[in-house]
Amino acid sequence: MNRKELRRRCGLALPVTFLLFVALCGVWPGLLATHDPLKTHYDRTFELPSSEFWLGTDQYGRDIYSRLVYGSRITTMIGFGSLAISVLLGVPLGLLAAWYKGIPDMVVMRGMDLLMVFPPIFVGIVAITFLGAGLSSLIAVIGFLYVPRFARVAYSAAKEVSEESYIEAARAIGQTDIAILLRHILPNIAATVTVQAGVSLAFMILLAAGLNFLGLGVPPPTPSWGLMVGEARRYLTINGGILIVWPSTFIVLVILSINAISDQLSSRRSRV
Amino acid sequence: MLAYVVRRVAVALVVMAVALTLVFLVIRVVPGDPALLVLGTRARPEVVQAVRESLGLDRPLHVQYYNWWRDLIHLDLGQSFYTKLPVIHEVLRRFPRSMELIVLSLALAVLLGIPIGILASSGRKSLSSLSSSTALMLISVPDFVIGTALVLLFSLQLRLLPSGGFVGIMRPMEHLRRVILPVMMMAVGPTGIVIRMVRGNLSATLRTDYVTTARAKGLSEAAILFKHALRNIMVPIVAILGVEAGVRLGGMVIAEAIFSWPGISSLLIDACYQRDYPVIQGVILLTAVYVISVNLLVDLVNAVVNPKIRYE
Repeated sequence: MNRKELRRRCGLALPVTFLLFVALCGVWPGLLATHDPLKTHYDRTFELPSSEFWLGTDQYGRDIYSRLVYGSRITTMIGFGSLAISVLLGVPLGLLAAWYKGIPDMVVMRGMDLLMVFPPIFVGIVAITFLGAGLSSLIAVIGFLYVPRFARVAYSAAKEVSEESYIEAARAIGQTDIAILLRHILPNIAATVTVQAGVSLAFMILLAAGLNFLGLGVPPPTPSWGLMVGEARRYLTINGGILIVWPSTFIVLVILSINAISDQLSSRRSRV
Repeated sequence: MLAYVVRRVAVALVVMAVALTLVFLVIRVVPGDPALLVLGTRARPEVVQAVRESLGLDRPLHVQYYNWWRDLIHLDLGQSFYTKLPVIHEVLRRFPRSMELIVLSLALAVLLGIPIGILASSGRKSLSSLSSSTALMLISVPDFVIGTALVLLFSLQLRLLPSGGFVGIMRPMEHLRRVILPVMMMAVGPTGIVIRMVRGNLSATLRTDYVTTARAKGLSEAAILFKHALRNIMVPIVAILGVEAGVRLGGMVIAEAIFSWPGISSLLIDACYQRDYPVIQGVILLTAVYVISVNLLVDLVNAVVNPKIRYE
């Protein structure tokens, strides 16, 4: 392994480790949290970091570190849930449109274009207003909003692949459409879809954090990073605004890690 | 060129008609009575009936559709439940304020992003990696973190600028002081994207044959850059700005919330809290029209910049 290769591997190792840590916090927060994230200590508000409260306490005297750990649950759920919805709906739609051409192509792809005319955050705000705030509606709304993007990416990749001669060969030996789609086309567009998943994942988490920040996402007191920044905004004059630092750092690190990984993946693909 | 413009405008009009129809249908066909959604399930039946009538929901669908278009063409978006004022007035009053933030922030992003992008593709290894990590950073920091940090720094610590609010353009200095922070906040993400676009496209362009030819002719590097290379990367830049002008509505929502800027998205959020149905519909309709118009504009600008597009 030469030095360049080593640097590239390290460039991936750091963000991957951090994201795994966040996912672990999300799946099993009890393991890493030191306090109950909802337990208030009214006599100990706005404390600075100490051995008891690792990152200090917030306006209700709740332990910030534990709230951050539990807050990663929202990020992880959005990451897995919304991404799953948009991939599982978007990719098949794109595949069908590319394979059957003609009317399915027109209906599906023009439909997707049409949906992209409505800005995601506006639709998100309205949808959540009428569905009611909460984690499940947040996951569903964000997932649906990204269906068109995956349909488009899968569509253009599948279109390219289906021109290949091995697809013609598979058809000639009498394989069914479903078999060709699943066995030959899907594996060949998987890499492209993965890159898109990385890019979209960052946007999805940002959108969720933004909605939480505005108070339109998961209702308090459930800890979420976006909401923590939003609440901290009211106490900017206390301790030099340190309350916004911790949740902001976590969000930035997560997005930075996802973007760094998807940059690496796409540049590696273009080099091959 | 004329044929291209006519065709493109026609397509945009069709898309607009279908998109507006979609809004109409979503409201009426999706399960759940809009009147109940507005009033809540515990509302008295006669109140629900009154709201249904005021929205025209008791008439047959095709009559509603006809009336809906008739009102739209007369720019009648109904009345706000809350203020009883015509929705169109409020929407048109707020829209330019939001546009101001979007246009200024994208302009700032171009002014900062293009020079940094050029520096990045100048070939110096250290500059290039510095600017690409800067771009990655700019793209990765959420809007609301930047906005909050700007308030903390410029309003609370340095006490240079007000932390929010809106003053009309009639008092230009006060207006400007309140524009600076939201525009800075909204420019951060697009700047990162412009840097990446310029860098990616410019380094590819600088390796093309016609640039080599220009060099062989003895043109200066500056002339090559400005006459040949930059012109060619304008198409992707304009395209990405168009996309951003739509996507940036997200940043705008946050900016308007943080800096109490009374634009179109704070109108939407207020309307959502109050379940002010006609206002919500008005804002969504207007933004759809806006996004389609921006897409159209991008296509037309690109056709002017790059003649090849016209003949496809």
